[in-house]
Formats: sequence, C-alpha cells, structure tokens
Amino acid sequence: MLWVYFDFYRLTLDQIEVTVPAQQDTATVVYHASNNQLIQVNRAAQQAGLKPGMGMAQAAALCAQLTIIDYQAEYETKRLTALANRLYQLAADIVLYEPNGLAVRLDTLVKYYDGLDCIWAALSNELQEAAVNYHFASAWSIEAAIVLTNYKVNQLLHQPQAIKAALARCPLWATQVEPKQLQALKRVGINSLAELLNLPVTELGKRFDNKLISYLCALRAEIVPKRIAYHPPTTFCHQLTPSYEISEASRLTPWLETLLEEFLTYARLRNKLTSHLQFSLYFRDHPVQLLNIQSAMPLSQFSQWQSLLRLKLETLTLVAPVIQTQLNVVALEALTEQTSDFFSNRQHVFAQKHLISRLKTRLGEAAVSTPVAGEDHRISHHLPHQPHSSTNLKHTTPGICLLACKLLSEECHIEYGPVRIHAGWWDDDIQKRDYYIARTPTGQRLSIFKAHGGEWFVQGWYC
Amino acid sequence: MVCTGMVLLMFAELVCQSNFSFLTGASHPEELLTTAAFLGYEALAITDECSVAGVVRAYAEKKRHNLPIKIIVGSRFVMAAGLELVLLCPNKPAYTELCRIITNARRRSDKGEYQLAEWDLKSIQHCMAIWLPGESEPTNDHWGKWLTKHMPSRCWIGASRLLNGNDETSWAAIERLALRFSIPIVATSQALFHHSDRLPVQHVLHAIGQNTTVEALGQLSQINAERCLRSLNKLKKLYPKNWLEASLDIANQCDFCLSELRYQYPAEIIPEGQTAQSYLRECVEKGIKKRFGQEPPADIRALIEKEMRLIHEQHYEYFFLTIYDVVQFAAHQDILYQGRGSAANSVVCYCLEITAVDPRQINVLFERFISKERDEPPDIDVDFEHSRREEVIQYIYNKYGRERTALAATVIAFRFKSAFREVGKALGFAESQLDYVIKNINRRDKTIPWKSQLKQLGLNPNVLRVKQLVYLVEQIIGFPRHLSQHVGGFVISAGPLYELVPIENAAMTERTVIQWDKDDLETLGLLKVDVLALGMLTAIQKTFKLIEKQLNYPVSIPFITKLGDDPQVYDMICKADTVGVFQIESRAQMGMLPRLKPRKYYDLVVQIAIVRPGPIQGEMVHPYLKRRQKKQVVHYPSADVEQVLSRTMGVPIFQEQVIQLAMVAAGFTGGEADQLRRAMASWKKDGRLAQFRQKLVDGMLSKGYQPDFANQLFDQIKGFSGYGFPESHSASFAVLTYVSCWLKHYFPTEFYIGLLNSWPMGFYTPSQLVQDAKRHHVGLIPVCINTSHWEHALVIKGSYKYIQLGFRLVKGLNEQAMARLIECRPSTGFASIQSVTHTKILKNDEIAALASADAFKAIAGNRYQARWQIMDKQSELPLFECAESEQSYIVSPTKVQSLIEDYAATGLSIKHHPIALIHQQQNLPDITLASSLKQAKNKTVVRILGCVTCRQAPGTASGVTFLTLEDHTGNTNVVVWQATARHQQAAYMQASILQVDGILERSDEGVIHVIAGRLTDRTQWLEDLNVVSRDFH
Repeated sequence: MLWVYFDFYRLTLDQIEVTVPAQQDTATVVYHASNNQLIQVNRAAQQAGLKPGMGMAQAAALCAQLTIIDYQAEYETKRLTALANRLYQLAADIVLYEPNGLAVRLDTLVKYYDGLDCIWAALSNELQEAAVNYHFASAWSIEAAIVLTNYKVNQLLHQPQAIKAALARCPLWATQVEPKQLQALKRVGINSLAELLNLPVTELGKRFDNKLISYLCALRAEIVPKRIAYHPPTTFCHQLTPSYEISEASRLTPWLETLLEEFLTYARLRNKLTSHLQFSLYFRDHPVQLLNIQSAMPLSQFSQWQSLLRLKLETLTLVAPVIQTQLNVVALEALTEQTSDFFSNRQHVFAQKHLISRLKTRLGEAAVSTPVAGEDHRISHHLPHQPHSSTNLKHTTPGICLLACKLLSEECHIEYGPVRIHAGWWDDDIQKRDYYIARTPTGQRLSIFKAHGGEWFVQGWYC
Repeated sequence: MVCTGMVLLMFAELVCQSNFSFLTGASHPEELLTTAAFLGYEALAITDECSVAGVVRAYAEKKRHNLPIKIIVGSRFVMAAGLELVLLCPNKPAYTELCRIITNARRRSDKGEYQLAEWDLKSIQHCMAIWLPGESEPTNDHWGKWLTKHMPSRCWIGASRLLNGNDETSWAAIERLALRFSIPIVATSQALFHHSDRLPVQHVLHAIGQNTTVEALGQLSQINAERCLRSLNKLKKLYPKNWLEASLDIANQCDFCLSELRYQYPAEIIPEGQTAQSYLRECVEKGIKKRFGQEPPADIRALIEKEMRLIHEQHYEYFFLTIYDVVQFAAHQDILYQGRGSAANSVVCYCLEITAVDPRQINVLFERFISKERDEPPDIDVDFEHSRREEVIQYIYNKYGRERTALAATVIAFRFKSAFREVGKALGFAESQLDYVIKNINRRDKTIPWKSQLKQLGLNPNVLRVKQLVYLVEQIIGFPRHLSQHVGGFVISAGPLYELVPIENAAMTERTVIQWDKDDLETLGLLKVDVLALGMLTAIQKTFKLIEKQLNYPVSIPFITKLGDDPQVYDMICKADTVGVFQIESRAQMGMLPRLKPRKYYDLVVQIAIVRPGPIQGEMVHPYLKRRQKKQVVHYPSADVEQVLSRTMGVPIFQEQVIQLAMVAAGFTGGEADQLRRAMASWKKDGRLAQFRQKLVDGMLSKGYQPDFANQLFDQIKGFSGYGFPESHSASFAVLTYVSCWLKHYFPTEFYIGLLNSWPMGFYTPSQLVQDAKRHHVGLIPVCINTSHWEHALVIKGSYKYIQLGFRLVKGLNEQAMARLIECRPSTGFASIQSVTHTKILKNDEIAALASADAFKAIAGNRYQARWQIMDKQSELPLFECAESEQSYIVSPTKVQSLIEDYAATGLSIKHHPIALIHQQQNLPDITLASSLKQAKNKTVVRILGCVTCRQAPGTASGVTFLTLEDHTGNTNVVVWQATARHQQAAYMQASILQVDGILERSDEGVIHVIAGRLTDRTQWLEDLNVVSRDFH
C-alpha cells in the first residue's frame, strides 16, 4: 500500500486570503482561546516575530496592529470536507483526519493515472486551485505518512528503504503516540522513533498497553487498522469566517456571494436545485441570526439568487458585528421538468414576501411596522418595529398611540392621574412626564401629558 | 420641624432601605440620614432587607455631625407566602427579638439569602410592624386576619403614593383592609435612595441583581424617582394628614438607640469568688514574677500601676483576660504566638505573656497604650502559627459555644474592576469588550486617570453610553456588594450573640459572621479579639524545636530578646543578608538595609515601617536617611513637634505620629483625631479625608506654624492613608524580625529547615531558599526513599550539619501515605523498587513522583532506570513477583535533563544551577557573575546572565520594573526603565534566562543595581527549563 497524507496547517488563514487577498499584508493570526495559543500565523505576522504556540499577551505585545481570528475546529473540519469533496473527483480512497488532515491512497490509482507522478500532478493541481498550504509525505501506511508529514518531510517516498530511513530520523513528538505515553517514554529517555522501534516488543508489552503496540505495528504496516472512508454528504453546509468583524450589512455581500458560488458549483456537479437558501450570521455576544431566502421556484443561476440576496441585504439590520457566515441548503431537488414550473402555488408566497420587501424598500423601514405592546415604561416606546413577545399592557396605556405626540387643542377635564414616568436615560430619550387620563366634552378619553415647558400633549386615545 | 403655611408638619420615614439591601438600595446610610435631617424629618428608620448591617453607619454619621434626627432600627422582610412587612424596634427587647429573627432566617439559608418562617413572626412580642399589602386580595385577607390575631395594636398598614399608576387601586385596597381589620394606616415613601438623582444608580443595581441590562428590565424597573426621601411640602400634598401623623406616633414610641448596646464579656474566664479586676491583678502579679523575678524596677512597677488604673477606668479587664485565656491555651498547646497593636505593647500584656516585647527595650512606645482621651478601643491582634491557628479557633468555638461566638464581617464593596464590569454589563456593553478594557487599563498610571485611558481602549468618551458608564462606575464604587468574613476578628459575648447582633452563614461551612464589620464594632464600642495567622511563627517554632533537640535547652522569643542587641546579627542585617527572615527580606527592604544600617532594635522598628507606600509616597525616606547619616540637621518647628518626632529624627514615619501631630500642632481634640484616623483608614473608599485639610492647615497656622509645613503634613497624611504602618505593630514585627535574623545567623541550617517546612510563606520559593542556603555553605542531601521523612530534617555528621530534604518537596505525594510507608520502612532501608511497590501503600503516580524526584537513586540507579523498572507491570502479577526484573536498561539522563527533571519534580535542584550549566556548556568569558559584581568598577558596562526569579513593578516606582536575576553565586537586582522595557518587549516579557548588558551602579553603602540597557533572551540555552518567575504588578 502507499498512502499520501496532507496536513493543511493554515486552513482558516488560507480561506481568508482567498476571499480577501489584501489580508496578506496585515498581520493576521488564528487564535485558540481555550489554550491561549496562536495556531496559524500569516507571513506579515511572522515578520513581526509571531509564531505558532505563542500566547495572546505576548503576541499583542509584539504586534499592536494584529487581526485575530478565533480558531474553530468545527469550521476547519468543514473546510476540510470541502477539500475532500474536490479531491473525491480524483481519488476514491480518502480518509479524513479532522480537523485539518486527510490521507489519499495512491497505489490503487497508479494504473489509472499511468504512474505516481501523474497522480501527484493531478492532486497537487487541484490543491493549488483550492489555494491551500499543506505539508505532505507518503509512506506504506497512513500512520507512517502522518509521522513523516508531521516532521515536514514533504516528499513523495515509495521505496521501503527510503521510508524506513526517513522514519528513523523522526522525533517521537511527530508520532501519534498519546501525550501520556509520549511523556512516559520521554521520562525513560526515549526521544526518537528509532529508539522506540529498537526496543524489544516484549519489554514494551510489559510496560505499555496494546494501543501503543498496535500503533507501532500499523506504523510498520504489519497491520491495517480499521478506518472510515470519506463519502460526500447529501446536503450543503459551508462556513466562512471574515477576517474582520462586519458591522454593515452591505459588506456581507462578498462573503455571502462566495458561499453562494460554492453552493452552485456543488449543486451543478450533482444536477441539483433548491428554492430555499438559509444563511446564518454569527455574532460574538448575540444569538445566531438566520437569513432565509426563498424563491417561488428552484433557481440555478447565480444572478437570480444574487438579486434576491442583495434585496434581502438591503433591508437587513445587523444587531452586532458579524464574525462568521454559513450557508445551509438542505432541501435539494433534482433538476426535472416540474421544478421549472413557473405557475406553481409557491409563487403566492414569493409574491407576498416580495411585496413586503418592496414596500420597505420604497417607503423606508420606519413606515412598515407591527403594532404590539412594549415592555418599556415610556408609552412612545410601545410601538417597536421588531415584533415583541409581551403584551402586558397597564390599564393606563392607551389603546391607540400616536407615533409623534400632538399638542392638545381641545378642552377636556382630567379624570385620573398623574402617573409619573421618569425613564429613558439609558438610550438618550429621557422622558420625565406626568401622564393623565382626560375626557373631552364629546366623551373621548385621551392620554395626555404635560411637558417641561407647560404645554399639554396628546399621546393617544382609549378605546 | 418645618413650617408649611400655618401648619407645622412633622414626619418620620419608617420604611427605608440603604445600599446594605444589596443591589436594591441606591444610597449610603449616611446619605439617607443626612438628607432626612436636612428635610426636617423627625426620624428615619433604616430597614434593610433582613439585615441591620447599614444602620450602624447611619448611627456613626449622626454621632459625627450631631444630627437632629432620631434613628430607628428596623428591617424589611418578604415572605414566600406573600407577606411583606417591616419590623421596627421600639426598645431593647424588641431589638434583641429582631436580631434573633434575622439570625434564624439567615442561618437556615445559604450565604446572602434568608427564609422567614411564620413561626418567627408568631414569636414576636415587642417589635412593631408595618404591613405592606400586595395585589392579591385573598392573600391580603389572610394576612390581615393573621396580623390582627398575632400582632394586635402593634401593626400598621404602610401606604405609599408613588405616582406609578397603581396608587388609586392600592389605596382603595388599603383603606378597605384598614376598615375591615381595624389596622391604622401610616404614610411611607418606601425610600430606596436619598435623592431623585440616584434613580439611574438604582436602575443599574436592579439590572445587576437580575443579571440583565437596564433596557431589558422594562416595566420591572422603577417607573420614576418617587422612592426617594421627599420634601415635607410634597408629602403634605400626597398624603392625608392623619397618615403622616401616624408616622410620628410610631417614631415617638421608638426609644431604642444603638448606644444602649452594652457588650458583656463571658463570665466563665473569671474564677469563682473573684472579680475581673482582682483576677487580672492576680494574673499580672504572677506574670511579673515570671518576667522580672521578684519585683520589677520601680519605673516599670509605676507603669504597670498606671496601665492597671486605665484598664479599670475603661472597664477593659475582661478584654485583657479573654485574650489572656486564648494565649494561655496556645502556650499550653505549644503554639507560638505574638501579640501586636497599641495595647499589646504594654507592660501588662508583657506580664500576661500576650507579647514578648520587653518594655525595657521599647519604653518609648508606652504613650500609645490605651488613650483615654481618644476613647479608642484597645487594639490587640494576636498572631499564631499559621499551621495551627485552626486549633485556636476551635478552642474559642468549643469554650464559648457557637451561639456566643462569631467572626466579624468584612463588607465587600464594589471596586473599580467589579463596578466597571457589572455596570458595563447592565448598560449593554459586550462582556468581551469590558474584559479587554479591564485587563488593559493601567490603574497604576497616576498621570492618566482611567477615564482618559478609555479612548485608547476603544471607548469613545464623548458617546453618551460611555459617559453614563463612567458616571455610574464612579457612583457605585464603594457600594457594599456582600458580607464576607473577617480574617480572624472574633466577637465573644456573655449571652447568645444573636441578641446583640444578627448572625449569618459565611461561605465557608461551619463559619458564621455577624452583620457588622470592624468599623461598626468600633463605633458601638464592641470589642473583638483578633486571632490571626502568621507563617513566620511556624518557621520560628520549628527552628526552636530543632535547636532544643540538640542543646537540650528551651529556646524561645523572650530568651533571644533577653540576650540584647547582638552586633554580629546586625552586621548580617547591614549586609542585607536577609533572605528568608521576617519583613526585611524583600528586594526593596534589602536595598534599604545597607543605607539605614540598623544597629539596634528600634532601628528595625523604623526599617519595617519605612519601606512602605505611605512613607515612600509621603517622601519621608530620603530626609530620614540623610538625617540618620548626619548629612542633614534636624529642625523642629516647636517643642511639641519635637516631642512627637524626635525618635524618628523629625520625620513622621508611623501612623501614630501623624495623629499625634494633628493633636499637638493643629489642636485637634481626641475625638477629632480619632475621626482623622478613621478617615485615613477609609480614604480610598470615601475620600472623607479631604474635609480635614482646611481644619488641619488652619489649626497649624493659628498655632504659628508655616503654611508650607502645614501643607506638607497634610500631604504626608494623604500618603499614609490606607498604607501607613502603626508603630505598635512594627514594634511587634521587629521582635520577630530580630529573632529570625538571630536564628539565621547562629543556626542557619535549622532556620532554613524551619522555613522550608513552613512553606508556603514569605517572599521566596524553596528553590531560592535552597540557593541561599548553599551560598551559606549549608549542606543539602537530596530526597531519598531510605533516609527522607515527610518534613526536611537535620542530619549531623561529625561537626557538619546537613539538610536532609523531605518528601514534602516532591510534587504529587500524599502526606498520610508517605507516613505509612516510612512506618513500614525497614531499618536498613528498602532494597529495591519492588520492595516499595509490594507494600501497596503508594499509588502508581506517587511512585512515579518519587522516581521523578530521583528518590530511588540509592536502590535503582538513575531516574530513567527507576522508571523503567516501575513501568514493568508484569512483576506485580503474583506469578512474577519474585522474578528478577530486567536490568539491562542503561539510558542515563544528561546533566541538563537531570536539572530539568529536578525542577519539574521538586521545584529546585541542589546538584546543578542552570546558569552554572550554561557556563559549562558555553564559553562566556564576558559574563560577570553576581558574586563578582562587587569587584566591578562603578558606572561601567557589565554583562550579566541569570534566571529571572522576580519581576516587580511597584506602584511607587513610576513605571520602573525591578528584575531579580539569579545565578549560582547570588542574586542581582536589575532596574529596567519603562522605555527600555517597551523597546525590548519580547526579551523583557518572555525570558526565563536573561542576559542584561547594562551599567553597574553602586551606592556609597555598597548597594548594587544594574541599569538595564540591552536585554537578550537566552531561554533557548536551556529550552525546557522551568524556572518559575514570581511576577508582581
């Protein structure tokens, strides 16, 4: 057997530099917060003295202008899956090592590609197109290939002697021996793979569990451990992490469109369509915001989806800066005659949504609102544009409220009050008002208040 | 009383919560009382929720300013069953009752919570109640009936007009209840703050309590600012006259004042047939014989009589006897202790064996004994061996019972960080942003206040929300957040303590705290006994035991102090050879010793107090040194000042001197001086000190002092605030300093063993102590499975003494298991690792830890070989038990690997020093060793290399960092200026092994510093070496 292993050691950074090429000039690092370590460092950051493994305090002290991206293993796994998807067209035997490694079996492909060099050319071309950096090595087993890759051998070895010699040079840390066992070996003076392989297996067997012995056997290709081969998924879910926090909805466009393009490529390869895209926007301190885009019928053209996406983004207000984006497409339909039926019922749903979107675009966001009771003491704040959950109205709250209060112009007498409201210092809309219920000669009941200047205003009417 | 039109209106606010109703009340009790007095209220009840923690503050304010208002003690309760009421104390029995109820409600709940039972209310016989009905009619009917039955004629319904839209409904309900159950109505504002301006603060506190933002509080927040103390005119418009008058009726019935509380000491400490006075006399006379022989010198006798008279006049006999009882217990249990504080350094305390400070050595301090004029409570803190203090605490609990003993509270208040984080969250700032600002704000930088630093940290100070944040943080700093337990202040009483003050649960199980802190106790004249822990006492006691074993003669603190000042010991101190000794071991103290050159006990008293932020910030250090070195003449502006300052050469160094100066130079009365002392102590918290400036300056000018001298004195007082060190404490500490120096000089091996066996304590790590021991030619024997004990032990071989390092040094060992192993150890020792493992006493990781510490060297070869044998699990199986283990493993660690393992397993290495190894590995002729710096020329460039063992950036040193570099010959102090550090951040922050190229500076007294120029990180020379640096910022 011959396997090649790829270690995509800067997967997050690679993706960012593809989407925003200018990012290469800014010192950028991927930071693992839970163990306070830099995981990936771009060239500009390296020039500032930063290196993987460093803590954030040191990094910040060495480089003041630093772009920091939170490391997310889950995100890298998704990028890795995307890469596996690409390579799957070239090789069928792929094993994923999440979050950022994969192995491809080469010996079975030799006869299809007419030699190892051709296979390598195909694989490396594909990876070059994907614009990812990697370390690699080949060996008689995945385990051996991983050790050589970890030691950054970066060679396509296939002669057993050469593989053996290369392995003998590897330190123990490059192996997949568990940290606890690695520590135990280190503490009896074993620091290299050669030293470990030289020890009699019987002596090792007295001191270590079967796992280590099995691993060493796999390393020597004496046994082949069970492994799960990669199969492409049936739904689409890709993520992108912008290199900076995005506070304006319009700036989301390139990121969401990149995701859209990735999806359409994915769908085209599979002859699929969808009528529903679900974008997820992630924030640092707020719950995820979902952005659902539906079309009346399944669409396949980038421009069609792009116009809908842009329409959606025009009306979108971000609650906080976005730190990550995701596109999820579950409902994939096969491209058939029916899916191109323009006159299906879904057109009504589309039309309704389209109408609201158009109204908002034409008349402005403030003009279209849903009247519900708020939880603020201030009556003028009882008309939020976002739907509110509580409808716990006090009996002093008028049934019909004016958005802008008007001067009281008719005679009336006070029936109830005052209710003193002193609130709003926190959002710069301070209201210090005494509210009253007044009755007009015609029997109308008004909610009125007296302003600082002595004028009386009408806030609303009681029904 | 306020005249409103033709009618004289009077009112008492009977429901009022201060900020001791944590996260509810938004004003300090002092503010509430002052405002109520200003508004002309007849009385104010402080009714914090299930607490009387705030009322003493109000009482102190009333005393301080002689305010014409009555304080009523009360508390508000909310019961799960829907009853909300306020209990007020008309008399002492009612107060006792209230304390009992609060105690019961608090004791049955976790810290900070309470649970009031119906039974508690049924037991009320004396308290008056104001019922605050809720919205539920059936519940109100139930409690109406209940209160009519159980509290007839002592209950009122509280009616509030808060303009919140519910007034009409609630009033209608209240009137109906009053009519139905014949309960009178009283008007109340249910005040939560003293002024309407505090509404935002209340909103923020409420949001913090609800763990939400102010905006999200919505209609749960206070609708308006009506729950403040409102003017009488306004109240007159809002309430019927008879409701307002009812408040006065109630207030008039409340005669209880906190001054009635009298502390009663436990009687059992006095033997039957004796009075406190006669028993104290008996104990003192007994002590005189012990301390002075038959009869003390006449002057000492006169002092004793003077002190006894004062004690009797102030009724402090019980206090002295209580402490006497506690220290007697410690003495019987062979627990070392030392009293300190103004009263502790009296001859009476010397005779009672509370302190070992011989009054003949420090007669200068007697004026600080109990000051009748200042009417301060006596101050005696007793330090016990830190490892055995719990025995003393348990003795107190057992002797007096848990009902009669509790710890004083410490009020934990909002400080900058907590206030900034909590207020920020309540205003909706993201936590990550707040964390970032808090971590990066430099509070030490006095030139740029924290508010001005916000902009650099991404918060625009012109934005409204940031302005609000700054304002509210400033408001909330100093607000109490919760009660915690005092480090060791016990209150012991004759009867159940809960009749004096409520008791509640502390966070620590089986610990209870009272609801008052030490200031409150002081205000009320209640005495506490401070039982504190001190690591050095443990070390000294352990050293004594080792010496006693050899000499067969008891050694004690009085034994050493009686020998008088020993010039050889002071020679050692003057050379700053003080690593490990008490108080004068830090870098700053060691830098001062060669300058100050202590030659007698009182010099040590000064030395301890002078290297403190107070004297440093007050710029008193250099004048003192110059005068001591006779480079500056001492001038006293008057004979009075001379009397106060002569013993410190005209420079105020101690807190007491500052107070005395205020009295003699500015004409402060005893009471005013006491207020000044308290203001100094709490200056950081409330800034009350500023109000004394004018009075002090005016007082001094009127007595003919120059304005410069007056202003300088006030600045010195400010410098002392919070940091000043009292002479009385320094005097006691100096005894321990001298004793520890004496031990280090004459019995260094025993002293290092004592220190190492008492660790953690002091300033230095075991590694640094061992390096110092090596420099003093003390022999060290590494940890060995066959010769070590748990503790480090003294081994005498011929005329040489060695430290046999003990198992306590090895990380990951269990003391009990090791004790069992030592019991099983054959007299000839274990023959092999298998013989250790076959005892089955130690777990695998413990055996591994011993191997890592190279403890098996005597029986199993080097570490690698020992571990290889341990890892062989087959030999543990019964069939293979006797089989010879594989011995062909011949891998050996290098010196560097051994060193790394030594540090990893024990935190130190006695075989190798990293720098010595580097010198062996590399050719470094241009490096100057620490021991050779003495020979280097002053003001020349030197290159030094060492392990960074300490990074210290003291607040008093304006941005300078002091690094301590250790090599195998000693320590070197390196001064790194801010600019140097900024330009070489990487080496400055990261290096474990650092090379410094800098200028050597040697003072006239021989103190050497290297002023850093170039910093080079040499950590890679010993990459894995884990030398821990202690960083102080």
